[in-house]
Amino acid sequence: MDDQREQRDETIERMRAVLTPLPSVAPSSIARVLAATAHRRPPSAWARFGEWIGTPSLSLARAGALAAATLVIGFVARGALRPDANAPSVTQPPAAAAGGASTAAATAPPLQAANAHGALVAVQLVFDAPDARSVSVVGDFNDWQPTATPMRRLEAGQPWSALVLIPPGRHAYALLVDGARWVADPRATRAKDDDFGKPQSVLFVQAP
Amino acid sequence: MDAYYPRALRFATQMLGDAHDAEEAVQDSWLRVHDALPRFIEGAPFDPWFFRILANRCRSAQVKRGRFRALIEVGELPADAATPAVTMDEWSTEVRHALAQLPSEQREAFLLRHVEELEYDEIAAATGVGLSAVRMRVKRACDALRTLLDEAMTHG
Repeated sequence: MDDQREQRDETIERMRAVLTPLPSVAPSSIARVLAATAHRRPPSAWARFGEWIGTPSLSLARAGALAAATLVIGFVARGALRPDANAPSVTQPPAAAAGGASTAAATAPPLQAANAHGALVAVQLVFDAPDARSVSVVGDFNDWQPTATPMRRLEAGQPWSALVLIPPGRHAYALLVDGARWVADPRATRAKDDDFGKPQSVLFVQAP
Repeated sequence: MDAYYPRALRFATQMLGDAHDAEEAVQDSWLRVHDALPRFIEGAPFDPWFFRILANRCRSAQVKRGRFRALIEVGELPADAATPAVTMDEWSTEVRHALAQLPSEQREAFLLRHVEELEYDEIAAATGVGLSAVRMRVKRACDALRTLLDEAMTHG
């Protein structure tokens, strides 16, 4: 039985037009909640949750910036990115899919850096989405911050790319297209445990 | 929070029919979310978990205040029951009247399904009732709303 088709007739759709617009929220309302939670013992997962829903927190971003500075000063070493056994080869070149915001990803040889918390491995992510206006990488390594790791491209029509610094281990990530659409990296293994119902990919980074 | 707060406020306002009560329920729910976060199973869908907390808080507010029953008895909604972004034309007024007349559990199921767009199994998780009961609540809510709105627009 297709409940949605059965029940979403014209009346329900017209009701939805009335009921679905989101109300405006006074900034003071959110400020009150944040102030109240700040006085409570912060659970460790709260920081991650706060990042995911947009509350600023810069701990990992700061760590990434430190590592990036180290990277600029000068190191090049061989790192290791091990895709999941079932994932396509990361050495495959980007392949443009037919029509619209096609996607493809590849990795360049990884680098490694060190920060106060240990080694970070630099991984180049490439994503082909010629029609996208913006793309960013969101993952557990940047606390799912939409603006922490923007991808860039040399010119319109070229693939988007970003160099991300990631601690060794298993990581979940996704690509955020035009600030709103989450897509899994088409060349990586799809995460089985999609957080919050959004598509995610998995990569494994080996310790250097 | 920027993403979820408006959704939470929309749901609570439509459940409780009062902007002040809704704001209070949402704020309290956020604190409960904060406290319960260590028990959140990483990787589980967030929506059902979040709306379970929020719906529980709305139910408590309804029991405590019996607010919607009072509104129905006096026959009109307060001005602040409207979602601020919605123009209060005749249709939207009738929609809110009709929604207010539903039994709470049907209103809850309808809003979660057709406004918040949760899947049936997610609604079951959020409300703590079985899947077949959820489907029945949504169906009955839709049937009742069609009837109420048809009558209102025919005789209104």
